[in-house]
Amino acid sequence: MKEGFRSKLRRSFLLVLRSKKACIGAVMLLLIFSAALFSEQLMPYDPTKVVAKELLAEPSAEHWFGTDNFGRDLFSRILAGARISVGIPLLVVAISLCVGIPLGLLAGFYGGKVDSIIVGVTNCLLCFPWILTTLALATIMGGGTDVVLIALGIGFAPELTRLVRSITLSIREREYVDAAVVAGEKKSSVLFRYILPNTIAPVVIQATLIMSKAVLEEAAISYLGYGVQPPHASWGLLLSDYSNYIWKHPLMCVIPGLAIMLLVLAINFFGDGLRDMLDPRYKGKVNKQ
Amino acid sequence: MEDKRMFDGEQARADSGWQTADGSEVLLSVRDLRVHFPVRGSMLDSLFSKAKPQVVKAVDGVSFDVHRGSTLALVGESGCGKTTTGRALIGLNRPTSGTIVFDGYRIESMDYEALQRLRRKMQFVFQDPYSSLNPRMTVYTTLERSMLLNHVCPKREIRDRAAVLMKTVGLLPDQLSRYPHEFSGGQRQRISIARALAVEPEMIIADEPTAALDVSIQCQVLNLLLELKERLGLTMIFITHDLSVVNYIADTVAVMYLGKIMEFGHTKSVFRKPGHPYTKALLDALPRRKALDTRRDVKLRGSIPSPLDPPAGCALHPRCPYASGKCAVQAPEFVQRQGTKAACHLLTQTENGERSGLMA
Amino acid sequence: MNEQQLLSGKNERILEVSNLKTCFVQGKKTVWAVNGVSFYLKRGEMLGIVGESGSGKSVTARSILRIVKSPGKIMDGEVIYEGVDLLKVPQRKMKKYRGNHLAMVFQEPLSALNPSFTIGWQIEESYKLHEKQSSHKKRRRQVIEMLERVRIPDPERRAREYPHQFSGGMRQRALIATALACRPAVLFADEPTTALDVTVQADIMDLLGELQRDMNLSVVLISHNLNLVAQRCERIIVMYAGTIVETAGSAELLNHTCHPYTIGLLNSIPDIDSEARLVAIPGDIADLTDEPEGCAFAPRCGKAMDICRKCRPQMRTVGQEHTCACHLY
Repeated sequence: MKEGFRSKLRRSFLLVLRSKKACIGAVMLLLIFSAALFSEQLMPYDPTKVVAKELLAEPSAEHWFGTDNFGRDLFSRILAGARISVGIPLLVVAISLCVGIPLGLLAGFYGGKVDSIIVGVTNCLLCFPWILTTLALATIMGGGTDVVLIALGIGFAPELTRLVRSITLSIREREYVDAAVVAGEKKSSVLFRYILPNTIAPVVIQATLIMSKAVLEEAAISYLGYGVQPPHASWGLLLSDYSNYIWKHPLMCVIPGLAIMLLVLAINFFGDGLRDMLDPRYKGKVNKQ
Repeated sequence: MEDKRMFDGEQARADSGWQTADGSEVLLSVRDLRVHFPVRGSMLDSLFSKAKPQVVKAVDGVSFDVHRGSTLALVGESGCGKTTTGRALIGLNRPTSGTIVFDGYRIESMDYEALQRLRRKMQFVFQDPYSSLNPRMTVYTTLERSMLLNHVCPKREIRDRAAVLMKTVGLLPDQLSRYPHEFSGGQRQRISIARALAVEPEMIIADEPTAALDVSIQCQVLNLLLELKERLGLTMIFITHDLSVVNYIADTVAVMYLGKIMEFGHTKSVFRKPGHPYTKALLDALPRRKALDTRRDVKLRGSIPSPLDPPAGCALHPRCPYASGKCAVQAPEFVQRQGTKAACHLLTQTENGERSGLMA
Repeated sequence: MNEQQLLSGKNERILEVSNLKTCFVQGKKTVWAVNGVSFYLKRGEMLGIVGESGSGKSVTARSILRIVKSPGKIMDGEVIYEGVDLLKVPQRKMKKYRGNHLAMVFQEPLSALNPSFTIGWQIEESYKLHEKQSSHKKRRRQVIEMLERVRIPDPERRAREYPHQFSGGMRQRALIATALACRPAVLFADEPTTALDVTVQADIMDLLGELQRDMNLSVVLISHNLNLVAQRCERIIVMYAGTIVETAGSAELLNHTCHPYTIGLLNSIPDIDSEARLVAIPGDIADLTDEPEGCAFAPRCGKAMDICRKCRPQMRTVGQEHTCACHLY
């Protein structure tokens, strides 16, 4: 009955393997994450080094993706940008989970004044158009990754809070929660053993959605010039920098765009698989196999 | 907690106006229980309207006793407050007023922790077997939690006891490691019963435990409950809408309508000679195998009024075919009859509570 | 009585179903929800179909109307209505039969009514579909008449109200009005009172009985409640695991019960007039994934013999209008 951590891990692994989509997603994510992590080792050239001789070179054996308008190696720049393009969405998800889950649980479980306050604040935050928030923050703080993080955090944390609150509200009414009370559970363990685990599946799905949205919005903010500042690279910034060349050298735009698309796709695939994994009904199927 | 013993069983029995022949002990005594739910409008409503906040009187002045080892059925149609009464007894809904004395302890004013200690003696079986088990817990974990929290036995014995419990409710010990979704509705209800039994309670409140089950499975669960009750000497409160189930399982019955008890007494007496028009209407409407004709002596008019605005006087009067002017003004008192008591003005009008029309 | 029966054509078979088979394919699994069902319905009678969940009683009705939900598929059989095999009628023409000839009332009246439109509008809509030429005024009058007919008090006001303003029983009445708008000959009532209280259930059943007599309607009452069906219907069909196990007149079925499943069912349903200890049918409801070789009830049957596990029993006549599918007979 009490299975070891190892067999649990093995089972989860099997589950991921069972879903082709999750498999593809996991492999893609693994590739992208390791590329981001080891970008410095993998870079063939310094991504900021300007080589005047090789402006706008076509892809070749030396420069896999060609070079840009300053003669910088595009492949190296994509790798350099990966760190930010992957890291920021991950952090944004982490922020929204850290804020959203506890606040949502509190609001949904206790209701009353706590609920009114939390719902009031989230509603206020949701009223701001994120682009305006970003612009205002950038004006005050002068752009950079921290602006992107705060702006996206303000954008997504309330969304998740509301989701967790509504799920909590619906689970609180289930009979198994009353049954737990009758069985003698303390209030805190009703919350953590009965309500929280049953919110996980939809929260995970929402988290993957947030992550893919964050990728795109980070790109958008950087594209507008308020996010990551040159010479640092992010995929959105690359896209913005190269947009002037879209007709003459379309590959320069296509490659960062493609990178963003692949990342979002990988996240969504993996999210779908994860949802199945977290469903006990699905686990049963694997046991029987 | 010990100091909360308010009055002894003798006192309670004297109050109730309801004597038992065998003088058995009263385990649970409920007096004038009321559970009202405020209906909260939106914030704008409360700002701009001057109307008083409305209140749903789910349970409105209910009194009864349950004797140790007996089974009481709370029966009534939807919205009559039977489930709310049951939930108030175990502290899931807090009473607005009234007293609940269980085994000498006053329950209605207990805090969360005190109630938790009390639930070792009183357990609840929920209606819907599909939502009453945590989908993310195996059966073993569910049972283990109950036993651990209530210190039923030393930790090392839990596994064995869980296996015994499974056998008690007619399941296999091998099935302990399964998740709820792997069981059928009837099996899940057995697990719910096992969870309730895990703490070795004295009383079980069962809220329509068979309503969601198929007929052949319903019988299995009913028989299981009867058998457990006999074997373990449990006291039971059985909440149901089905009079034929009441007849099968309960010693005493309380017929409820709009948050009030209409008639209370020995099941056999109530069903053989219903004193209240509402009881009679329920019995008439019940499909019976013996009498294949469908004539009904008492037919209620219209439908149940909103509990937000219950009628004055007798709650039944707008629908009752026997209603007179008095019924609309004055709420009837209970009138003692043989083995039963019913709250109806008809019974006070005639001397012995015997009337041709209703009792025929 | 006999004369009256002749006048109303009481013995005329209005619907004849033979060897109906419907299955649900889910991946590699095939669930035989209805597995060779044959029965007939007489004009103006109330026929009860009793069974537990998964017995195929609802799917049988849905198959006859050809409204089986995906992934269900009618595999085989004949449904003869007025000399026409409904299963061979093209889907376009089937619309003409639904509503005008065969209608259905569902269990959950709230979800069967559209919350955004008034009750009157919804009933009028079914008139519109089937009588295209009529004027709004005429239809409105018909709606009010229909609401009166199903005993909804103050029909003119009620017609302007929305489903949520109706109580459960009133909703079911409105639903019956919708179904009967085009004066069908056959009404399928799928658990029409399961979601309702007993007193309301009795009212609705009274209403159905009245309509059946007044409109010479044939009613198929589908229910899990054997007591209710026995009380209200002239003939009863008992279904188990997609097959009919026994058919008989109500009194005959109760007094001369043949099939072990029916006996088990009768012994396991609490009845208010009986003091006897109930005897449960052991085991769980049959899994329909694999077509069983023998009798579907054999694993739960106390009287099962070797032949029961090997060979599917055929319907045999055991009395007047009384047939039973069991190797014991």
